[in-house]
Amino acid sequence: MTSILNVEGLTKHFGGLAAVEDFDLYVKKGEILSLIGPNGAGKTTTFNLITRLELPTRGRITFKGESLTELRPHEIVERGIARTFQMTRVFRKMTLLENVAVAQHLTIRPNLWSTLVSPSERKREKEGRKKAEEMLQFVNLFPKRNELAANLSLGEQKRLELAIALSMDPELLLLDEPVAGMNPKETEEIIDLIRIIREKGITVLLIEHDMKMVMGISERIIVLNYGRKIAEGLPEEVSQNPIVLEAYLGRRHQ
Amino acid sequence: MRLPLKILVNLLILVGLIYLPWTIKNPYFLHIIIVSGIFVLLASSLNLITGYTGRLNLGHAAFYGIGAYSSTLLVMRLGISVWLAMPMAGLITVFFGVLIGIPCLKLKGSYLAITTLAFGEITRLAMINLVPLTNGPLGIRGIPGPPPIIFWNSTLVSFESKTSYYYLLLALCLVCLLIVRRLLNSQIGKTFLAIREDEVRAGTVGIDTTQIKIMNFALAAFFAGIAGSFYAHYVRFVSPDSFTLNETFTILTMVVVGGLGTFYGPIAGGVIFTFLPEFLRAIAEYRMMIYGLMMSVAIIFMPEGIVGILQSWIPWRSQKDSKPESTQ
Repeated sequence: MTSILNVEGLTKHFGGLAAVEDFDLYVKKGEILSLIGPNGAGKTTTFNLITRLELPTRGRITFKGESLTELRPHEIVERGIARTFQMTRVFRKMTLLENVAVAQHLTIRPNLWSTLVSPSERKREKEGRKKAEEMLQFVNLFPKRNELAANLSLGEQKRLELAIALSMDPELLLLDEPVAGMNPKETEEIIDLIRIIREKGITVLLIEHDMKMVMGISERIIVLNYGRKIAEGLPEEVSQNPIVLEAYLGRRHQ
Repeated sequence: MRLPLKILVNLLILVGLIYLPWTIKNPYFLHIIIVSGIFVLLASSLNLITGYTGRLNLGHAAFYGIGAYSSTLLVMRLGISVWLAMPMAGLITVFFGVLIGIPCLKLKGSYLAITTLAFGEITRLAMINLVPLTNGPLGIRGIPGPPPIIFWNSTLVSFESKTSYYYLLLALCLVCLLIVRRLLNSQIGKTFLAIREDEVRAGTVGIDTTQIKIMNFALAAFFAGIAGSFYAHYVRFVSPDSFTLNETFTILTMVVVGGLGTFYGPIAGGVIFTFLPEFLRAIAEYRMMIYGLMMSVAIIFMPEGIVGILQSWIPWRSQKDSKPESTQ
């Protein structure tokens, strides 16, 4: 299988702190790859670097052979990478429907002139709205479509994040702790959704702390600690790896 | 049932607005109505920036002034017809809107406010000091009005009466507000809101925030420029005193107290705050103080202004209904 995302020597320093250090990563088409590690290991920073919310200090990021570091955030989306946020960042004073519909921007591609005069633009907007409704149905939020996003519970906001990201028809989906703070039932729902997403052929790069979920759903796992990769492999390999256990649980007192 | 009702209500309002000048005997009262129309345009255009993309612009009077002066100069120096000068003044204002919009791209909150404030002051000082062009603090008088509209050898409208100006402004307001309305209901309107809510996040859903923010400034500048052009040819006199910081704050008060980020807010605000000073002549010195107080009260107690409160009283218009998308 070919890899669609390649990260080589990725480094990000915040002042004297190395958030990510010389990190290599590849994501194969169609897989679910999990990025785990203790708090502050550099996982979210890696996502921010891939989606160009931050610029790397060093290193290369390529998606299907094209370098991403020169692009702007909306161009990354255009290439087929969508993400969710750990601390949800939905548009709070917009309705759920507007939240997802606004993400249809690259399909609608409005300009001033077409907005004012073109009937086909209205048609595209209508289609965008329909797509948004479908996505809200998919994540089971359709009944609340006209509520403001600020009124949603955390679990619902995370599902809305998922709907927004999916509505952009990404090839690669970056999920940043999609089940953090959720109860077991909500977690189960999200896992089912991710399985369906994967069956659609969407590649998933996942950050998660819920080990049961990570072990159950991932094909491969990469472990980060203090910004460096300390282990990589199949779930069962990683869970047996003494270095990983040490990173999570600490060293046995001699 | 609701859609035909809406059309009926809009039609009634339109008929009322067309009939309005005939009910008014006092020309000064008609003048105040016309001025309120200019401010409806200005407040609506400022609302595009401050209400919808959430970026405080304290240089709006500069756009208004640039529109007024450029239209004046186009007509008086180059002999261009007022009908052509009006849209051209709008476009010249767009040029300046983009010019100030680009350095403001990365600025937010008070930094943006201060930069736009400076832009407003620079523009005013330029009007005072570019004497060969603007005649300095004395201003320019004797600006011609629009030439009469002649149809089949007979004069339809001659622009000698206030009534004819009223109709011209009514037409301008209708066109501009319809454009604003359509924009706000469109995908572009949603991107404005997304930028207001979380600009970085807007980029991650595929929005070119740079492009949208410049477009937003350009649009607002265009409508303010048109308002300025109309003002110049209506009052027939422009001077730097008409485009001061006080003017910007008045427009801002209209937007905030009327209803920030609502379509009807600046319309209500524009009318209310043009008429209010007429009734408050006795305490005219305290005008800006009262405005400041009202703005503070509005921001704290009624974030969607007068219009927001009115809408919450109307039983069939819930809060969600006041969202732009449902007006389609």
